[in-house]
Amino acid sequence: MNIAVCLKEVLDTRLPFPFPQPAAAVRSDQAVPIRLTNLADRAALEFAFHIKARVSQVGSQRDVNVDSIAAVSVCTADEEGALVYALARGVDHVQRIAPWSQPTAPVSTAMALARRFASGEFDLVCCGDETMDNASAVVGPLLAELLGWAQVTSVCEVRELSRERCVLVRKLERGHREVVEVDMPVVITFVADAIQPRYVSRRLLDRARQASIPVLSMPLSSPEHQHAVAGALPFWPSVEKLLVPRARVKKRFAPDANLSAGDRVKAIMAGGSHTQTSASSILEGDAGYLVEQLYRFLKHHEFVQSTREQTP
Amino acid sequence: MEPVTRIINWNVASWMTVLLYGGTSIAVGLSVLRLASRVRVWRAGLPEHVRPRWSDAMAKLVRWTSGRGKMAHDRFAAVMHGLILWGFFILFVGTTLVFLEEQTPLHFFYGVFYIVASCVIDVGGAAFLLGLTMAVYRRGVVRKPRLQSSAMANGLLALLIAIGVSGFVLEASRIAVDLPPFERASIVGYPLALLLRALGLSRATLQTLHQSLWTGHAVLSMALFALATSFLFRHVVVSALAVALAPRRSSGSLRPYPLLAATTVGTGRAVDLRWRDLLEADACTTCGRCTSVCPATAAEKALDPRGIVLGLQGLIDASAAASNTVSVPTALEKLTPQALWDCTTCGACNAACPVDIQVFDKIIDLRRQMVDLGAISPAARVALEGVDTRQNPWSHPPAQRNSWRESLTLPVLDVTHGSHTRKPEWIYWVGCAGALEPTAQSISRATAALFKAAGLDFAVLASEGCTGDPARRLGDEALFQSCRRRNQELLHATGVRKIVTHCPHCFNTFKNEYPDSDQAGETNGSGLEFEVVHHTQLIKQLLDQKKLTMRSKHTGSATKVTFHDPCYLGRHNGEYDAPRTVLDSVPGLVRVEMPRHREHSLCCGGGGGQMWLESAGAKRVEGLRLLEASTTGANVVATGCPFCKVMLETAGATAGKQHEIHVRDISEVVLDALDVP
Repeated sequence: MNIAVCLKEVLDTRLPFPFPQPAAAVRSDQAVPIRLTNLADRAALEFAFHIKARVSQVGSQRDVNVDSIAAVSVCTADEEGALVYALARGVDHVQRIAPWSQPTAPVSTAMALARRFASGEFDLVCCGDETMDNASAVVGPLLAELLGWAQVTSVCEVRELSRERCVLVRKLERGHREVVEVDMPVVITFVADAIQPRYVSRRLLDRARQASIPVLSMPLSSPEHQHAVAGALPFWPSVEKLLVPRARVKKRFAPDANLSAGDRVKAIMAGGSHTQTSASSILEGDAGYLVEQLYRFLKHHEFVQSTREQTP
Repeated sequence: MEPVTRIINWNVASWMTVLLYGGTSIAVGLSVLRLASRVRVWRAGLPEHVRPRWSDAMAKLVRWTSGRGKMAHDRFAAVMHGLILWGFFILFVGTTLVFLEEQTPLHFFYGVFYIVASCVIDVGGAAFLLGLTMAVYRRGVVRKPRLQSSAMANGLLALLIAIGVSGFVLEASRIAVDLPPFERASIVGYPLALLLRALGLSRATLQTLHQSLWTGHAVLSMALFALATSFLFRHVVVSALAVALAPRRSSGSLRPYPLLAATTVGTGRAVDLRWRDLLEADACTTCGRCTSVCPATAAEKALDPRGIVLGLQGLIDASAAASNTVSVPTALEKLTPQALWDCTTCGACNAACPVDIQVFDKIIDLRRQMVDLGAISPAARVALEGVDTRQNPWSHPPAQRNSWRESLTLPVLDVTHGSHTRKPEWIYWVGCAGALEPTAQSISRATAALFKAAGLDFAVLASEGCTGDPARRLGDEALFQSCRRRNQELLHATGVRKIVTHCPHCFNTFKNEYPDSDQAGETNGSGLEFEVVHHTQLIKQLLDQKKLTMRSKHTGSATKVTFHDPCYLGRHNGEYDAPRTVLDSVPGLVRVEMPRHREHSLCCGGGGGQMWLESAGAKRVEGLRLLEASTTGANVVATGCPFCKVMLETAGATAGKQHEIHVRDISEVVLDALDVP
């Protein structure tokens, strides 16, 4: 059995990303975006290693053996970090697929991957459920569709695996779980928090950086490339409208620190604070109104001097 | 006139002498073979980054054998070991002289030499037995908890006593036959001979007794020679080597990782450890001093420093015995992983070890191998990834790094964008804790305020990054080296040659680990050549120069303060006086010492990466330290380290003592007492 893992290097969207402004000096430590291997992809890679380890233990009984794990990424040469990570983690092969177009879109990524996996070399493809910087979560399902394979999304556990089938646990909303059985070959997408990825030391990363990563370029005559050159959809969907949800007051789950320990435990058990010690409100309106209200609030709490009352 | 000498091997058949020499040769051969098998394992280890200097080694050996080493920290043990060592040495030389007299053409064992030698050998024997009696007293009567009592250790002690006692009775039975007057020089043997005569033993009985004792003494001695490089006896030979070859470097400076450039990953086999670590493991005397001072052990965590060393000794045992080292369990399999992660790198174990075993060096090397294998806790992973990607182990966004100084007007040096106009004299290195940890940000603000008040020409950097101390102590050496390179470039770009920091971890890293010093403490040219001081040292200097002045009068009652020595300021860098001098200069403060202070200080539990790891013990190290501080009756625990402040403050809050005992950095204490016009 050969396993392929699809990886992507993404922006660390957990951090505020400062956009350069013409009027303000932006320091290097703030302006340099931090890139990392997508967390869900790391989980997928970790699962591939777990499957290999587990299959090697029970493989003789089930006549299954994991021969190799390959990592594949559709990215430019500057975005090879995820493949370096995979090499350092110990995959047998890596391959970068040069994208047809820039920036890459989920659909074109899925098509490029489908071309790569169409040879039937792999029995199992592991992907992250969604990327941190796009979160469309369509690459896995679309890839399976293009390959004509089975697909399971939001997987958090692999229960059984054999040459013919595998049993997986899906993580659903509100803590629910779903056990599914699926025929091989299959595309599985893993959720990011399903597993703690093993730490990859800087030494191994530095060593992996020295390796040359083979590049696969898709033929220019391919219809996908023609579409990409022409800028045709659906490779890069355009955003027509952003719908922002109405702001809501957050429910206070943290109990009041001034309460006794017993009362705090009661509050937690009850699902929230049973006393409201401060009033919160959400302001809505135009900028002038908001500034005025904000100023009143700050003045009320003595954050601003009363001598500067005239102009907020 | 009766010749002043004795017949060597009197009353002993020649075949017995042949058996003695033959048996002794076999026994010595066995010992040599056993030692050779250990040496083979040591030699299979990785090379050390510094070569020992023989002049240094000899000087250390002389110092150690003369009782001026760390053995003297326990005076009873020092006297006991001194008596046994020197007593045995004299007996050994005496036996060698007898051998030379009998087996070589040299003849010197008569006359004055004989009398003096007889006397000295008896004194040596008496010292030997006295030392052994002290050992029995310590193990059997005092029963020190740190000493592991085992049948093997007791058996070996009994063997030595039997050799000493049989030797004296043997001598007495020989003298008692004729009682020559010159044998009065045998100050133990002669009185014993008189006692035998007083018992009314006949000449024939004495000769039979002598022959039996000679045989018994010979057999016991052969057993000693055969066991000389085994079990606890091994330390006699190997600990001398360990002391002589101990590194001459600051204890705060960790060794480079020999596998850093290797293509393989260490898995804790003997070949993945350094030869000196293997040698040191064999040198362990199992005295347990390391364990008795270890804060993690005190907090009932998994770590037992002696257990780590003995675990490695077990690895050598297995590797020496095995023909195929692949089948030998590795150190990572033999040792509890949690034990390796409990170490705070406070260095108390190293400081206490009488044979200079560097315990936490071994722990760090094993951590490095675990990091390469990815076998680390999620908390350690988050801290290391934080250092790698966000330049701080707390994983705070880098943009938050300057939030501590938002309300202050401080000179900022921005080398990246060249926004600075003037080169200051000092760079104030704030560090990750001082910049990001809310409890420690007050230290940064207080320190900056003091420097401003003193008119110090300083600036803070616009873009600091982690020094790499947590990465190195958590085992990612390559990550540390990358932090080191980045900071070296940054600091060189500033052109400033003086750094002051309030964090002893940053201080230690800049001072001892960035210069890339070799064994002699000389820089190799690629490192950082800066003057680095801790803020307590600079504050003391500013007070001495009257650039900072305290309020002359103190109103109200005096505040009792006790100083907690940060490990990386005190034990690792020897700075104990500056913070105390500063505290003593603050009016209205009465300084009291905790039971364990200065060199014997107890760690706060935050070093060695523990700040970011989960505490697995039944107790908390910081809790133990705070308890010790509270026994002094002090209202304030002063310290000079942000980690110590965070840990002790947390311990105070956990114990509900946050209103009784306040934890403050020295800069905060001084700022409060400053005479601001």
